[in-house]
Amino acid sequence: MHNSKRGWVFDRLERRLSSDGRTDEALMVHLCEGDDAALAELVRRYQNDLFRFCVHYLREADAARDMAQQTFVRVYTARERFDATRKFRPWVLCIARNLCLNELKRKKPVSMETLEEYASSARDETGEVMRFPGDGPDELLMADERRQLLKRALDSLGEEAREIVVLRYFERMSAREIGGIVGSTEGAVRTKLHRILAGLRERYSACKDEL
Amino acid sequence: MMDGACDRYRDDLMALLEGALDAEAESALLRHIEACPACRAEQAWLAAVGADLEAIGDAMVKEAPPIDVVDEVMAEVARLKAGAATSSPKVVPFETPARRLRPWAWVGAAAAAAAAVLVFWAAGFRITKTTDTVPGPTVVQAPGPQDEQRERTVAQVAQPAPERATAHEGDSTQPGSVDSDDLDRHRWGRTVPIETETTALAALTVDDVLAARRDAITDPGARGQLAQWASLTVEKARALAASDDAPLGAKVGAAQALPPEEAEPVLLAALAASPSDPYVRYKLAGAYAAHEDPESSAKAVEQLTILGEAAPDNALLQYQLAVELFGQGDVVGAMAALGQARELETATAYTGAASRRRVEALVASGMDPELAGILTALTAGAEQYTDLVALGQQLLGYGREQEELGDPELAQDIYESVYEMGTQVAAGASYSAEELAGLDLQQDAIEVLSGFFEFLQLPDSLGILTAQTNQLVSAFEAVGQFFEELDAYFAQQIERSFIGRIADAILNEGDLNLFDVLFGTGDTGADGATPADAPAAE
Repeated sequence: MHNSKRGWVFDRLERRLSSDGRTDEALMVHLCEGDDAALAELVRRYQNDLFRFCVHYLREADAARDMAQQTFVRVYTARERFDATRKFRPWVLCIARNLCLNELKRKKPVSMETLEEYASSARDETGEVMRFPGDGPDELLMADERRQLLKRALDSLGEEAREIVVLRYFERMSAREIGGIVGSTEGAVRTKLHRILAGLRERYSACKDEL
Repeated sequence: MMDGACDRYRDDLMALLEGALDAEAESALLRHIEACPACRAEQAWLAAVGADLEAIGDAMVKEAPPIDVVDEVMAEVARLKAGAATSSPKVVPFETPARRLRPWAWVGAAAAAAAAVLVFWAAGFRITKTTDTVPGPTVVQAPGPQDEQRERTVAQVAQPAPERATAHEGDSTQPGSVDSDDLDRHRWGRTVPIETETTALAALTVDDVLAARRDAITDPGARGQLAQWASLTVEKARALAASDDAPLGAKVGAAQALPPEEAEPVLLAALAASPSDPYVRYKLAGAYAAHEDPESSAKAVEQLTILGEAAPDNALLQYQLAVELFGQGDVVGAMAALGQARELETATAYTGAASRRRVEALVASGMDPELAGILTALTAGAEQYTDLVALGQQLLGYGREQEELGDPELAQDIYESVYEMGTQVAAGASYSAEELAGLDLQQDAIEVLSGFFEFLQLPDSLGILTAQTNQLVSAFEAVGQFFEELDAYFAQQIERSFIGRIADAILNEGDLNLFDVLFGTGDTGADGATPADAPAAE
């Protein structure tokens, strides 16, 4: 986890260092004035962030690549509507999000049963929830199995619930940032997120009662 | 698992794991966690699941190599620019349908020669509608200054208030800026009271009202006068709301003239007394919605949900729910509400109930009951017309927002929902104002959809719109004929003793059913028994 977190921070740092010194918002202003090179710079800065973002939504690299590309085309066609007094990043993420949600509308939801499988795997022999310390080789193996179940469980969530989880844990966004993307408040995002995670717990309890 | 006593720590716990808790709250929470095994277990569980989820996200990204789409994006942009230089509609910069809107222009050049002006009298306000009859085949016209000019002449509501919501004439330049100031003024549930000239009102008689109604056929000023007489002043509404003696129905009627924050407690009290009264709950939801903050919006959603369960056949509640959910950013929920709405047959805005409460309020504030009845009957539906059209504009705005954010399919769904809403409102109408609102909603949707389909170069879809436009023109003509009959009826000297029956018929059955109720013929009774003679014939 720590390594990947460092990688995440590094990516952003690298993006900043490779920039031409202009802010994203200034680049948008220049784009509106006809400077296409400004768009190229924005693409360079954000293409992999957006690609990752779309991968997390769509779960397919090829579709995510297309979506990232389409997002930048939308940035260009909607450039006049960008408010330079606001931040570029949430705006472009909103565009990508909508494109992804549109794509996902065509897909059917997966069964909820996998959630229960994950919840069942997340308890120890005493029936208590495991803490997943996960350092030793055996535990790593167990963690891998557990994560496979969790991944399947994630796929079974409704898109709205999955989106919150994706933004919080995959994109490492704060509740405030997520609220800005999905049009909700910081508190409401935390409440929803807790409810989603608590759903796992409830299913776990139900399974335990059946034993 | 956290028990009920620990629920209050739930959000703090989530914030703690996010690293977003301030120092003071963090130390308080940590002290609690140390002493509380349940919260300790909760924290461990959440942290473990969070770590697992982060690992899953990282693995997904690791499986996908970095991309470089700079050249592809710039090539696509170059293609768009090259297309724009040749004036192809496909490459017009992505703009809102409102900006490229040329209502009726696309129906063909020959249509201009056949333009018909329909002048409608609708329950106290007048609508001048310039339409083109629709010839075939459809020819999509190139934009031009004349089209822009014509856009401004279509579907304007003449004086007096309520004005036509004209948000589509504004330029929404930012994603998220769905509504113009115009639209805000017309937000549903928000009443714009008209100050009443109390001195003139004190001496007002039924004959004055009938004379004004006759004048109103040709004189907008007389129409304004009627609307003014039928409105409570804010001061009077406040006095009624605060009165211990006023009946609850009168207070609800007074709430129509109060700002939302003042209407709320009145409506809450009324709802406590009559929890199954759909109109009161509807107005309360509207008052909450008018605040436009998340908490109030949640309350509006709550009321609309309860009402939706009690009145599952009223599609309007689902459309209003959709607007609230869009406002909250819950696009999925909003689309679900729109989907549910579109499965229903009719939509109603409780015009009759609103009018009857208005009468109660006017009477409680000292107006003669007969006078209050006829005044309200003659102006019934004006507020609902404004609210309905504004609701449609809000939905169209959210459609434009989706379009701007890159989701034309979703936008089209929303636009088509507004058209559907128009047909449902017209289908469920008992009042001419409601029916007109339904037709206007259809027209608004067709205008936006025509620009949308034109932009996407979908001639088949444009062809369907042409057929819908033909139907709409026929419907407008039918309503226009009704208004002419209504005008002809009120142009005559009506028997004074008949006024109460007219008012009752309109307030209880709607003005569209007036002639049926009075004469059982569906017409003005002019063949054999004129309206003026009708009372004697009964």
